[in-house]
Amino acid sequence: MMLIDPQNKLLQTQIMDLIMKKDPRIVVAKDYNYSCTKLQYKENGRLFLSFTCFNFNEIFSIAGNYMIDKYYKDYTKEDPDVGFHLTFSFNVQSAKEEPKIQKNATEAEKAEIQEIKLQIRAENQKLFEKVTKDFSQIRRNFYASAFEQAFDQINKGQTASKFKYQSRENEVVYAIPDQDALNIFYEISFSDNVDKTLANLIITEIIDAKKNVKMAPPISRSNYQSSILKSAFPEVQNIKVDPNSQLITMTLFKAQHFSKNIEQLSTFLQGFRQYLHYHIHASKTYLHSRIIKRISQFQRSLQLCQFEPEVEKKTEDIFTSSGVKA
Amino acid sequence: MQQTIDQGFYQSKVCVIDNGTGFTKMGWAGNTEPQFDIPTVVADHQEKQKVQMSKNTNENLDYYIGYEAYDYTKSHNIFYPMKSGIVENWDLMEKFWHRSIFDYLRAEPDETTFILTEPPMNPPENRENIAEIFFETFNAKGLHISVQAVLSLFSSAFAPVNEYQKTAGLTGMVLDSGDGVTHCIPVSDGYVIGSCIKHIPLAGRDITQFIQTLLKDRGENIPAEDIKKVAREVKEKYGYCISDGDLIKEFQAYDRGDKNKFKTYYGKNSVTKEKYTIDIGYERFLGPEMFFHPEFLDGKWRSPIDEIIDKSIQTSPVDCRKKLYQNIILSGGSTLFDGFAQRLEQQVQLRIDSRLQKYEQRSGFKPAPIKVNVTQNPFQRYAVWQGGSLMALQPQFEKVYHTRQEYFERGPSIARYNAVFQPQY
Repeated sequence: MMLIDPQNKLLQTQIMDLIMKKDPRIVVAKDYNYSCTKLQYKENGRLFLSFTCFNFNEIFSIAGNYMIDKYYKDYTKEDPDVGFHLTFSFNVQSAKEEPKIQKNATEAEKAEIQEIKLQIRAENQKLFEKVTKDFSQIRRNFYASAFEQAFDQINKGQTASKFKYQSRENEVVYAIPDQDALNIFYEISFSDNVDKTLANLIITEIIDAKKNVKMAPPISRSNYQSSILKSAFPEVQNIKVDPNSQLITMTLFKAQHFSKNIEQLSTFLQGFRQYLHYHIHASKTYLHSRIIKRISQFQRSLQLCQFEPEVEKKTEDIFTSSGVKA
Repeated sequence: MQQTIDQGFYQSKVCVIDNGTGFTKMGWAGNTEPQFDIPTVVADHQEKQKVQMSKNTNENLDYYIGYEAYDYTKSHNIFYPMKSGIVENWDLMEKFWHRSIFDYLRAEPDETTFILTEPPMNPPENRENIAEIFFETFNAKGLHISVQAVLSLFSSAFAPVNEYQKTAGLTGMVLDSGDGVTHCIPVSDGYVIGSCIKHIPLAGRDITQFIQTLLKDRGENIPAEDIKKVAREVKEKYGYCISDGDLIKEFQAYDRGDKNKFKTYYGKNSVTKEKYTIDIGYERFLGPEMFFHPEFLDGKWRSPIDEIIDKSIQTSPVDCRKKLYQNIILSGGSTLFDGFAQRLEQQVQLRIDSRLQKYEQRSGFKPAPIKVNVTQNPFQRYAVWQGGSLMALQPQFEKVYHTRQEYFERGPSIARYNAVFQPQY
């Protein structure tokens, strides 16, 4: 059950709010992986969206232009805001204005204008929904575009170039395209001990689960000794193997996996780490609530238990009782 | 080969979560308003008869929070994890936090510091439980639990509305009235004077209930499933406090048929989508009158709010009483009624004046008058949240919150202690 929506719920609600209320204010929102988004509605009727993340330049050099072409063609690219790397703007006034019904209009005219009004309102609603969707999933689009570009190139029969980017402080993602496949190597590292154990379990589960899934891609746990990885990125040979981190490899094939609907696949690929993290914490919450229940059960039974009254031992005193008789 | 992340801009990854009985306000620190204001509700499938679910659904993750929860009333049960500002069901609260952190705020708790709020006189065990959940389940980077009243003072101290507030700092009397409970909390230099807190268990929810009964008794044509919503909207949109406290005059104004007084509510049946209208009359001012005549709602409570505030200040240490009178701050959604601040100011002022007059008669000395100030914050509904957001931006904040490392060294008991009054471990 994948619960992490590619659309940022926070941005989604705020964008609609800003557009509808035409309220000039700034909303700053952080997202996963040290990314940050800023929304600003200015009095001139423009909505600005700025985005940044710690590895911006690295990913932008891979597929930045591809992303802009694919998702943000309809918006104006502005000079980046201070502290941000990318800024787009949308002119809210580009929405059509609803006609006004004049006082002296006849009933027939009124009905006609009302119909046009409803039509325009529906069109505007569609436009605003599109803006909300595009703007609220900027993080997803940015990270997924690297994969989407590679898939697209392979689908078209072009040669896609290999790429790698640092996804978090101790984690790097490597992607090595083949003629009709894409090999992806995920480095995953958790600092907390419990998280690490649970991550291990979930990864084992994922690897096992492929038996039950139709056309499951080969997924395995590997180390840096993989020949594909070593030949594509020779620098991995010098990595000091961190006991906390592990490498997961998956190979996606053109025929089975990305001949159509590359968007859904890329959404999952860019959010793989969050997916793991989400479920680790969900399992911890579950375990925690079970522990609490168990403890309260124990406490209840402890409260109910009674001490057995101590039975006094009856020992006969040899001096006072029957032994000595005067 | 991995480079470390340049912190700089990302240093202030702080989330402020203000869990109230009725609504939870949450968002990223640094903003002026919370980004989410959702009901503190969980729709969980537990206690329902087992229904065949698809294999893709994980039963344990099958729950919803906030407004989303109301969409699942048919398949799930609705639970309210908090009562009177205090967490009642920890299991559900943990689930609520899980969803709000991961789905709503999209925060990675390992890198985020959380500011949570608590009502005054919250049992320390509850703070320990919060620390346990945040550090052990979520691995939070840091946690700070702050009293709601102090945060609303923080918000007004950084955006002063009048002259008194510029110098008052963190000293003031906070009247906090949310959905579940109304508190009067005297705060001196950022520390709550615990022994002088007074409270009445009547708040927004009771006003809604009262308006609902008034509407029902009058026989207004409202569908049964919508009546609660209608009552709440009537309260929020049309409620006001009468300025001079003269109830008879106000009743007469309505009886004369004053056009400005009566309002019409336009509603839509949520099931059949039929439109209907209802007239709104006395309930506009009778609901908010709860603060000054609580006996209208509940015979057990007879002291008006101004008397409670006065008593609370009079029991506080003598050196801060004057400051407390000069800085009475309103916080929470139920203090948003039109004219409430003026009415309260007037009533408290009357009490002080009569006391000073009596003193003058008995002693022959004329004491210096005390001017009462009741202020409304422009972001009153979110004053607590805003206070948390401002607090996170202070450079001192880093020294105040408890870190994960501290927790693992000393255990949940760290949540009991204040950063300023350091305990002797």
